[in-house]
Amino acid sequence: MNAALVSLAWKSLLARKLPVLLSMAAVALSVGLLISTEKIRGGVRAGFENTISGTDLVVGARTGSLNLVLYSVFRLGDPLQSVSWDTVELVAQHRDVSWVIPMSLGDSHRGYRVLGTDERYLQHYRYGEDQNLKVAQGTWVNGPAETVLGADVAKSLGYVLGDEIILSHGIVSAGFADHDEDPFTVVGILAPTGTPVDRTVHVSLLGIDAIHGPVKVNEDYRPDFVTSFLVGMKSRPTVLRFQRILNTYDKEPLTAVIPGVSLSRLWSIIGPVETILKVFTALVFIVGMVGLATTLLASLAGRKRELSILRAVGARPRDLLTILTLETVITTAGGVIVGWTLAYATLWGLAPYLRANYGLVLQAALPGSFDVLVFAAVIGIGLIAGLVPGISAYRQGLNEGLTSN
Amino acid sequence: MPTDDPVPPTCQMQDVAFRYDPSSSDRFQLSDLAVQAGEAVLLTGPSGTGKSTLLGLLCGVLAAESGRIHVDGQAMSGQSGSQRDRLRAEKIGYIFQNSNLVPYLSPTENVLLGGQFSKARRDKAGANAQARRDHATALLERFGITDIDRAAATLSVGQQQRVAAARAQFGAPPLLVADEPTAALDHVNRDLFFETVLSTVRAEQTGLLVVSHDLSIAHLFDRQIELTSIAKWGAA
Ligand SMILES: Nc1ncnc2c1ncn2[C@@H]1O[C@H](COP(=O)(O)OP(=O)(O)OP(=O)(O)O)[C@@H](O)[C@H]1O
Ligand SMILES: [Mg+2]
Repeated sequence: MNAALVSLAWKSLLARKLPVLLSMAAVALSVGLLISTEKIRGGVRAGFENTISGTDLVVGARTGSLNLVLYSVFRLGDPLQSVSWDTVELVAQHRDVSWVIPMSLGDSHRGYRVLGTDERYLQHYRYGEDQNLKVAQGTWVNGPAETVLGADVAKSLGYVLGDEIILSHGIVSAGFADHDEDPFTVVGILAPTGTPVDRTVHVSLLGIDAIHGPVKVNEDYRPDFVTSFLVGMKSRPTVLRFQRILNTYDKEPLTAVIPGVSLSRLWSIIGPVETILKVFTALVFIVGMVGLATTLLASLAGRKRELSILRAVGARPRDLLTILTLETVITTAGGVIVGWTLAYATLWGLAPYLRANYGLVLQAALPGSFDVLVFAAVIGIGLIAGLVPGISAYRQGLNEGLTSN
Repeated sequence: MPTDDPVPPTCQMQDVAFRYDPSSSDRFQLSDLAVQAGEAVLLTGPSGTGKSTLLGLLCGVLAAESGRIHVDGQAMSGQSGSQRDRLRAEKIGYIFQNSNLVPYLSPTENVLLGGQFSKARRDKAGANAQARRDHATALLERFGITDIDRAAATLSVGQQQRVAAARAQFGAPPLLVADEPTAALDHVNRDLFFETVLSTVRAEQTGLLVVSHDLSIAHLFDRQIELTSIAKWGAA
């Protein structure tokens, strides 16, 4: 490419700073919006899909499968009926079952759910890509008056090891329902996971009973009921059969669901919202691009003269095309870079806030193939938007020739 | 060089036919026009008779249907668009009636533009960027422009026309062409403009073809041609 043409294009851009900057801003905004919504959407989706892994079945009393998963995994939805401890033990002893995690939910501490469980939770619970829970500070729960906090609970309530907290019955956060007799001591804080675990207060199963009244501490304590339990099978192929066994168990009405299946069903409910979001983002993007093309075409009207002069000194139509295309490519590329930088700066700036308030971890917020695609698309659209005035300039050069008005 | 050799004209047009609209039969027809080296020719004629059309053909912006057009011994007719553009860049300095300058370039940069699209003209202007810049400055000085680094758009109309003339002469192309270059100028500026242009034409043995309505400048030229005497419009 001719360096003289590059220099002409550059000088022409510098001479029209305001319209050029406005075009750049239009591109930057649409690219920024496109990338950040896509990243947040991806983050929401990934976070959703990564909430639980390695668990083959979620089992509770007879209820809707969605509600069971929402309550047990996301700590959302309506409270569940109980499952007897006998059933939990029976399932745990089944020859195809590798492990179970009992879960007792229903209480809260200042808006955070309290989960009664035992050390099997720490051993077998998996999220993301087969990641297990880690105690970042302190130890796991040992006694009935001990608690281990999820990362967000500790962070947002400012709790440290050794603090004593009051857990209440039910999920009201106000003081009147507090059982203020037995405080729990914070003995551990979990490492952040980006899942609802971060917003959970963990106690022992005995601890749950302690919330509801005085308990006798002895070695062979066993609860009467739990809310639900998670099951890991020894081998995958047995999952469906075992699910059927549980769903048709005649001693107690049970619901057993495969979390992955429920999660995708749940996501498909959110699907249309996702599509609408995508459509709107695409529209904003298109509006930005049309704005760019409009600005380019409008600026061309004022530049016919300049292009005639270049023709007179011997510029070929394709030289004019090169100059105009270069200008748009520089403008759009500038806009893309600014928009891209803004999007990532915003995402990284917002990340702690999104984490703390929505449990949203933007793991997907690293540049990827989507960004390359957006880059290519915008430069491509910019190129086409530049070709339109370029080709019109090309024609002008031929038809109107050197006439002076 | 033997003096009896016939010097070829700087530019020549013979039996040229041209149509703006290929589907119409309204054809511009030109019998013969030649400008010799060092000769200044004034082309006059009523509005709409095709003076600008003729210049467009001569400069290769318009493509002739038939006939011969030569500039400095090279054929303009029968060439591809980009060959004509190359030839124009190398052989012809062109001056518009007004708004000759690229507004965001300085006068010097506007003059340098004259060599932007022709290596031959650049080489003639100077061996390196600095030499070419000096050449541009010298041309501007000859036209009385000393304020060479401010934006071209801030120059007066008369100054702009003189910068355009300096650009047309950058790298000494063999042919200068101007379409009513002084129509927007007062007498003083007009005379200053032609004095300087003509002195270069004489010194460099350049051909000059000027289109104008202004017959009061005719005495400055070697020859005046009335377009209607060499060209007509109509079916063949
Ligand atoms: N781009 C064009 N397309 C079609 N017809 C054109 C075009 N340019 C000029 N013409 C026609 O060609 C004829 C000659 O026009 P031209 O501009 O050559 O006249 P002119 O002698 O330069 O006139 P003036 O003295 O007013 O500048 C006119 O009838 C004009 O309408
Ligand atoms: Mg004219």
